[in-house]
Amino acid sequence: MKKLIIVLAIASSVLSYGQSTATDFTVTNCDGESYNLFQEPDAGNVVVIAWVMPCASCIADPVTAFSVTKEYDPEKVKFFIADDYADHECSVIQT
Amino acid sequence: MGDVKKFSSELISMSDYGVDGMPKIVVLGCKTRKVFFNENSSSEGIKDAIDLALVECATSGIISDDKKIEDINLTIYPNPVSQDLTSYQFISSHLFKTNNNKDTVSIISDTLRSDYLFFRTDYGLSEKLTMSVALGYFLDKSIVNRNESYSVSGVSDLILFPRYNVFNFKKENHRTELTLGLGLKLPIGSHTDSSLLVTNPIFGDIYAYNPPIAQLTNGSQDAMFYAFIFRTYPKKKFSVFANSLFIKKAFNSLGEKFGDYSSMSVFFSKSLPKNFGLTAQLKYEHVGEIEAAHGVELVNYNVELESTGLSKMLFVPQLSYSKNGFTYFATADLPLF
Repeated sequence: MKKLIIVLAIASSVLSYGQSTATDFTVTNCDGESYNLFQEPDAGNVVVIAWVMPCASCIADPVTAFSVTKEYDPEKVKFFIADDYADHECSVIQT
Repeated sequence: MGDVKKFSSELISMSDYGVDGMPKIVVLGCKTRKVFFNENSSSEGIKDAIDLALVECATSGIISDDKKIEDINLTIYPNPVSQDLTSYQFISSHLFKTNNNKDTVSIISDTLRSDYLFFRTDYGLSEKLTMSVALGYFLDKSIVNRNESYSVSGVSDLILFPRYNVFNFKKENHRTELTLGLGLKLPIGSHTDSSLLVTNPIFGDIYAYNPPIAQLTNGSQDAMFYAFIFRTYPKKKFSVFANSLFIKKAFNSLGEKFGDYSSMSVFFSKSLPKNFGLTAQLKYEHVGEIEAAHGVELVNYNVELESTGLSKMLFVPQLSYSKNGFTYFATADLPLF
């Protein structure tokens, strides 16, 4: 039991560390453009990232998140969709 | 979906944000690259998170004051984030009044002017500790008199200013943050520049120290104490925050001790539609009079004691507008006393 508590404590500290600040990336998006994540927060913008897999039940929350995002100035609040494990082609995400 | 960036790359890993989800949604923003929302299989509360991020991003760049030492930003930058800032300040003054409303500049000079560059870099040493290093450089600092003029240029002061985020409580409807700073100002430039006063056939050239206002620095190593408390109400898009700065001046090598500086400001900030923001600041500022060490006559250093020290209260309204990563400010200092 004591070991379990220690493991949980370590796991929660790792989780809280991972959740505090974003991790940068520079990748080519599905439109063929090179894109750097930190250019957005550095410009004072807010980014919403949704990791999805192409299944109907998985898309409900990202759709809600996108609807909320649309209420804001698109220059200030950006919406990104990322394939969950990068194992699908862009054409699948496009649909 | 319409205006959406889509990605399929292993470099965009949801495990950077904890346990994987189907789906996982995060909201991040501000120069702190902070994560405001991180949920698996849920979008509940995402609007509040976006509101909070927008308020925080809009207020994190507000600079506490408008002078060189006070140009330290309020934001704590988590490791490994850094920010660099360069500002340019031009001042030209033809009027400088004492308590009895006497224009002292008309007596000692016609014009005071300075061209000043200020460089600052911030680096997040940890999630709570940010180190700021700042350096001032006068392109030109001069007093143009009817009969003579003083002019200097060069490096002014080096400012080391670590700031620590003591606490940051977040509840459903508000967030409270306290940051403390302890800084040191080191004079790099000269504070002993002098000008030829007279040429005497017996004693030769006789020089006199230029007035302190025509020196690159006051020449003392000063300690700075800073506190910042912030409370925001994301749903109301409203923030209230206050800061206080106290600069404890030391004696310089000439035996001058410039007056201690203290200021306190309270800000009320409201985000408005269409990227506008409104901030009202109430600021009190006090600067003590110059003191002299035992046996030192300030008049020898061109110091008019009557012209030193001040107390004032200001109301500073500020309207901001953000577009394409730039923020434009319109502001005015309205003296209350």
